Amino acid sequence: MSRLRGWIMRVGGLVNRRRKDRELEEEIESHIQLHVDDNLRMGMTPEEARRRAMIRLGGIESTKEACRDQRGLPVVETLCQDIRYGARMLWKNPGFAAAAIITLALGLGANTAVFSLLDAVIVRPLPFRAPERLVWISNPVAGEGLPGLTRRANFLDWKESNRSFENLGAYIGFSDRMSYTLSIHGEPSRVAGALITGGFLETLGTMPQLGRSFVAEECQRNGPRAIILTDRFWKDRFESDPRIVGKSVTLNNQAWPVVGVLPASFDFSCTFTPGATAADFLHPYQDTPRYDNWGNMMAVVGRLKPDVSVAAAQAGLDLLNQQLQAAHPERGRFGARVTSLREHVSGSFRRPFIVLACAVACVLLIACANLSNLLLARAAARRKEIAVRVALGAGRGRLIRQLLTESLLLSCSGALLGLPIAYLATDAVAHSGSFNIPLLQSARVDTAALGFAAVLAFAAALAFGLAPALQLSRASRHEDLKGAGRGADPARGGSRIRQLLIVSEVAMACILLVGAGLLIRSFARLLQVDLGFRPAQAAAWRIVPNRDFATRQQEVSFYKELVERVKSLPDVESATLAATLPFELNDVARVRPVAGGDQPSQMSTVFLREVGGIGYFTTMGIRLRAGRDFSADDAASTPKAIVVNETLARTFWPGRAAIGQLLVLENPPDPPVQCQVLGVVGNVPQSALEQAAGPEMYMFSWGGRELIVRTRSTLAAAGPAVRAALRDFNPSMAVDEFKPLENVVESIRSPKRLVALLLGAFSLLALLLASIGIYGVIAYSVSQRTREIGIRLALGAPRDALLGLVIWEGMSLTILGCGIGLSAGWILTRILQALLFEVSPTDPIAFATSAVLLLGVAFGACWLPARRAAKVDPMVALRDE
Amino acid sequence: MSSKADVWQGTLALMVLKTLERAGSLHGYGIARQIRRTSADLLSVNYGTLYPALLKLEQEGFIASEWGVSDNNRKAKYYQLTRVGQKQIEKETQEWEQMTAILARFLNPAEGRA
Repeated sequence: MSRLRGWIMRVGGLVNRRRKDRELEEEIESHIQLHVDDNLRMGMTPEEARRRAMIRLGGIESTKEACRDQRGLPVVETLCQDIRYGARMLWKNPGFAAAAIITLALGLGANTAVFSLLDAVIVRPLPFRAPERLVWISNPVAGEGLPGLTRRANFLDWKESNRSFENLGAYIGFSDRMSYTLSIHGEPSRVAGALITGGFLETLGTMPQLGRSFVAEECQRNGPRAIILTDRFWKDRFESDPRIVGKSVTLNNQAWPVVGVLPASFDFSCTFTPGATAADFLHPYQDTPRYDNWGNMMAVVGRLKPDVSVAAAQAGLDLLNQQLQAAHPERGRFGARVTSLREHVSGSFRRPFIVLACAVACVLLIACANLSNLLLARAAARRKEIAVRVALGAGRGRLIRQLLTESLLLSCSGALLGLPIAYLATDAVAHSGSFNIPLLQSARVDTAALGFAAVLAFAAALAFGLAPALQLSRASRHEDLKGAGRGADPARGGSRIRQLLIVSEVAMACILLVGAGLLIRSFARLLQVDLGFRPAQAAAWRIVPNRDFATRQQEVSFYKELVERVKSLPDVESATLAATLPFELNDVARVRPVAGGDQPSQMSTVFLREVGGIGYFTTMGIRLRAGRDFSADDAASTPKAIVVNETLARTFWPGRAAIGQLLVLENPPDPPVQCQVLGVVGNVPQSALEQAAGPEMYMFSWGGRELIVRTRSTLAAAGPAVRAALRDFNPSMAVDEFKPLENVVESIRSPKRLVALLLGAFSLLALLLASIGIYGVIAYSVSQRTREIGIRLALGAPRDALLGLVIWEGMSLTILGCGIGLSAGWILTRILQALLFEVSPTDPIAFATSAVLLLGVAFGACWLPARRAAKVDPMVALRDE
Repeated sequence: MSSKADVWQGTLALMVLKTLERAGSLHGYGIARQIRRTSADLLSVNYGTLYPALLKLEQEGFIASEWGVSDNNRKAKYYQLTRVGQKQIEKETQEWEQMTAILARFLNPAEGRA
């Protein structure tokens, strides 16, 4: 108790020191006076009395010092002293300090930013209750490029009969296709909603921050309407109205009561449908057996019971599916693949983000190596200072502590300067909206990131400060004090460490360059992939009529007239309608070719795209390979007119003309539809650019959500005219900004672009730092060897030979580092395999380019100091000593 | 000398407290003089070492200080025992007695066995 009190008082002793010092001085002065008085009484002379008193006290200053140590906390006080001293040292070398702090700021800032992104996308638990028990249940049968949706009947049966799950919930995978017009004070704007089943939020374990979740009757056919707003939508559009629950909003001219607001931590689209139009609200999927006709539409999540593993749940569902399949042959083939929800949401981003994290850590290591080098070079210049301090009684531990404090001062300043960089970079990546990566938007520099930055700053200070501190603290030799040791033998000690540091810097930079080279080449390949359509000068407008049509006839004429209006604009080359844009969630159909001979034809799943107007292929710039485009009459023809892509034509009718062939589209319980091929078009990839296009068929019926326009002039010029025409045509319709098709393509490439971009930036930074490092070491070595160079010149060494000598000193280190880097890269780039597209991880071009780039830059970095060495005037150099 | 000083540091606190208990209120020099007299000049170390010890005792709340005037009109800082200090004396005295009793058994084994 009293010990604790003692410590508190000592902390208190750190403040108001001047007054306490004065008091202490007075006390000691009074002590001496009292003692002198005593001594005088004993008959001493005044001089003797004072002398005796002083001797008995044992020194005024040492007594004061002992009291000061007891009064405050000596550790803290020496730390403050060290910091002040360190700051003075840095202040006296502003060039060095600025270079060091900026390098560290870049390194620490980049690391903190990558940490924040990594944390948001792959580390931080999903924002749900006990997220480790959440799984994603996909239907693996439908094939690549499909979201693995499940049909209603299967979902209900799973929910009913499984034994592994506490709860199952789903959202409707095609929610994105449903558009709503929100009217606030009569001003229409287009908003998006997501349909969720009752139990979806309960399964996730996320509850609205205001109001409640959907109740059972809202999830039944013709149940009451209800919506739950996302936090963002609530804040943006309703000014965070705390009494929003119970109020109604007008959607599609109907009143929808708000029953809740989602918590800020759960942004539905950011987690489940990144890249798609962000959902502004959730509304209940109102179940009815009619939806059995919709086919696969449910994206299913499940919450495992506490002790059930993913494998056990998988086995249970497999068994259940076998029974279901036997009982319901009409449901076609289906299955269930259970994966953890985390894996589904961001599993595919784990590897690229870890690669980025390693790369950025490498950059920091290179920066540390550079600083270590700079400090070692400075150490030589500070030998005399240190020798003086040792002579005055500084212990080795005290010296190391002082030197490390200086390093810490550098790294903390670097971290402070780096934090704004990290904030800006994280914010730029998270909120650019152009990267199609789940959870990325939730990235921010939070307390965890700040803690990370602090730890990293300390680690960096140790990494770059320890070797120079140890080196310098040994420098207590007598000759240092005399000043004779000044750079006399550069080969000693520090020089070896410096060379080692340079070699490792170069090796790391080389690995980064190779990695970045591979990813950039892979991205370049991705850019060359044949899209199958021409995105330039084409854009899409989302069309929501916001009105009911009495007859189908009315609806058709509405769309026909809309397209005609737009087409008649002078800037518009062509216009058409479609249900979806490329790379969006794809529809599929189950079809079989009508066999020409007696061979039984097989059912296959093909992609289905609905074309909503004439001239779709021309407008999109999709090449017509054979036959013809749809004409106005094809909308209602029998057999149904279809256009197929080359893959489908080749798969179904290999070696034969596809035109005129028949196939049957089956969609039980609807009767089968017979279709006839009237045209074959070039392939358009359906999902990822890396994957070859699957078989696809196009059907035509008037209508669609997307108005696609190809313009004669630029989009910027034509856009407002189209917008005005749409407004004019139907004032109650919300008309968005257009979406250039180039953006559609860009968004599918964006994750790869982000990784290639960042890795490219990191590797260039690494190259820059490594070359600065080489330059620093060679320049230092030249300045140390001025005298030797002078002697060589005086003895008649040709200047060219000298130039070569100095350059070789740097290049030998670079070549060694480069060799190590390339060999390590040869092994390490294997982990990039999964990220590469049409580029081998040992791609010789990437390796060769990196080596050439590195050697070239290093040559430049060596040449500058070498030229200075060659210009040395022997007379000046010799007189210099 | 050095071993003597170590003992001085370890026992000084108790000596100061006991001195103050007997004398009531005393300044630093007075405490030093008193300790020297009581120990009959055996402990002949620097008076200066007393001041950090006083500071420590004050921080721990065993003694309190205030400025006053000495008999011969010198301004001096006077120290005084607190209630906590009084208890501390009892506690430490007990500890010391135990300690010396144990040590005594080692130093005079015959007596210890008896």
